[in-house]
Amino acid sequence: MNNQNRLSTLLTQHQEKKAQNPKLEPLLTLFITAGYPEKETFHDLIRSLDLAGADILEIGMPFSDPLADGPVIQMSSQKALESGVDLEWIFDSIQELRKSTQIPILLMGYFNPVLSYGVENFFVKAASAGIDGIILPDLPAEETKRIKPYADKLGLKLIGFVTPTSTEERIRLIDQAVDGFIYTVLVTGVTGGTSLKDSIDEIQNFLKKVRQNTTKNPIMAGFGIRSGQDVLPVKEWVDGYIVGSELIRKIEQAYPDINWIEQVQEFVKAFKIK
Amino acid sequence: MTALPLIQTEPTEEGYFGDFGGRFVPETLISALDQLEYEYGLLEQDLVFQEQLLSEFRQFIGRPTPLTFAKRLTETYGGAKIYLKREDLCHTGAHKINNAIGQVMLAQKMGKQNIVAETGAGQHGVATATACAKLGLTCIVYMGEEDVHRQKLNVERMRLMGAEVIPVTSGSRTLKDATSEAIRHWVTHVRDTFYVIGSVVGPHPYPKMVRDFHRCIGLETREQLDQLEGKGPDHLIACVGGGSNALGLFHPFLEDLSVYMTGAEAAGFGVDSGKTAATLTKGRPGVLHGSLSYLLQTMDGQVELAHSISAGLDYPGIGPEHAHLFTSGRVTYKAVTDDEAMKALKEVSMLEGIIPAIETAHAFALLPEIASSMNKDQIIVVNCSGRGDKDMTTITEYFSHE
Repeated sequence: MNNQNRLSTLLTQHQEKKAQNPKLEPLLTLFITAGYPEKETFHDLIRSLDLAGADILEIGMPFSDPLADGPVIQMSSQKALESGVDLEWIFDSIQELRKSTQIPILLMGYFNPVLSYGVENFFVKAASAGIDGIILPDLPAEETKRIKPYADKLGLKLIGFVTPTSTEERIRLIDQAVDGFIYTVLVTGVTGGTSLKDSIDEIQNFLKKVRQNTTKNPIMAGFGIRSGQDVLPVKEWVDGYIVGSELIRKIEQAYPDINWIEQVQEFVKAFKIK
Repeated sequence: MTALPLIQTEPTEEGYFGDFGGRFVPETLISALDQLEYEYGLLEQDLVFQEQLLSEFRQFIGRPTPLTFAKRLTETYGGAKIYLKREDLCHTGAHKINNAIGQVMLAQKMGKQNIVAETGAGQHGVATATACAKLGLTCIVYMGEEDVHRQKLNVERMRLMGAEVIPVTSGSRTLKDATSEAIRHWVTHVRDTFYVIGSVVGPHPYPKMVRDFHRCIGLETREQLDQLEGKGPDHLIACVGGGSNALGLFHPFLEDLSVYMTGAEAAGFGVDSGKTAATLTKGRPGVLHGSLSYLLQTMDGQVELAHSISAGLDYPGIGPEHAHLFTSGRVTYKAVTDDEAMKALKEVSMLEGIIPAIETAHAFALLPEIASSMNKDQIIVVNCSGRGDKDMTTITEYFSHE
């Protein structure tokens, strides 16, 4: 059981360090679809992402109709489903991974498979597998009451989304509804879309607005971050950032070269080089 | 005495009909839905807008549509008097245009110049392209690649009226994936784009709004029957995919518990064949495309592919208000197979000189059983939701195997 939630511990430590050192590097969160690109080496991939410098891992639960995702994550999700990845496989895999890594792990996915599994059952299994938090992009703040009591009871954290179309009032509502972090979507759209370069001013104003209206939760930025270069203009405003589609794209390129995992590690390390 | 069903005919503030509805969409869309709900609320009370809408209904769509007495069908089944509400006579050939005109006018009022829509068989796509051409807005329609090939005529109609038709190659390449892709487009262009949903599905307030634009069907029926027979209907029948034509007919009568209502779902090859679109018969509660309703899904909560000979009913979900009317027992839903629908299609064509759409034929397939069990002084109204011209290729192909 999660007496000590790994995500909360990491985020608290990070904020304490940041208070001492405002130039502290933001945390790197990596998104990877469960069982992608293949089930057999998934553990090796996860451990290598951890070793390459990831601070938090977000593992995607594949869904047949991923509304919030662009073509890259749709593709990885479809491949995972075809290879038979389901919630049982994900829980078993993470339980096994927990023998060798204590990196905070979040599950990201859509509400229907969770509802179908049974919300309480889902949280019980997730907690015992060693999962630290849940991200459901199609469950807005108004509906988090469907899952919050179970998450609280079992010690898992909920992540909320804020987007450029969120009003200040909604940002405050979302901040109150969740207790993991605020996933700040930098561009309107689906994952893996527009690059950030065109609208830096707009993004900085948006992040300022998010900061001013959140009191409880750290802020992680995501959507459109493709390289360390993209992080520079946002890093002073955020506690961390999330890379998803670009990582999957990299894996799609490298796999199944003999050294594909090393190539992916190089890609990850580049985010950490200053 | 049986207990009266407890039904809710308007959604709660959070968009629920009983346990069904709500908003299950990415945060990016919530503000747009709030704005839509607010603006729609204003226009509902705006007499000038309502007058403009009524004028388009009359001058462009051709409303009110007739209520036709089906003499030979009535004689053949030997029971209740059968009337047909002639939505097949609407401009573009089906009821879909009522909603398309309403939503495109609303978009224009809200200052959005770009329209995005999804389509399966192409009827909603054609209706939306028509409304956009008429009112001068740009129109993008997402359509599964599979359907682009199956419904070539409708693709050409949309393109002729200036719409851009984008074939969708993800997933099953049919309506389900076209809808996902339209929503992704909307998420990306939400600031200047209005999403015109084609049925009583999607996040709140769409199920209510789409239904309201189709309520004219039931309201006209009530008035026409009053003039023709001096009384109301005893039984209403309509086909149900997402369920917009059915709610349009049923809704004004829901609180009158003396009126029976039956919805015809598409059973495809049969409800237990694994090739079906009978969502209420074979599905269970689930979330797809923004609302909690009934859904055809696997044990793992993955959405299943639907099957029906009718492209318009070939969808694994159903509107949340129907899920509520189903669980509360207010409306009865029956599954009709491809073969039963095609048999009815032929019968209606031969006996009444009306070739219904294959979707609509599912409703007609329930008539023999329902009509023959009723008295001669009772009245059935079938919603003749669309005409079959668009289906002639499928119909010819089907009967060539006989």
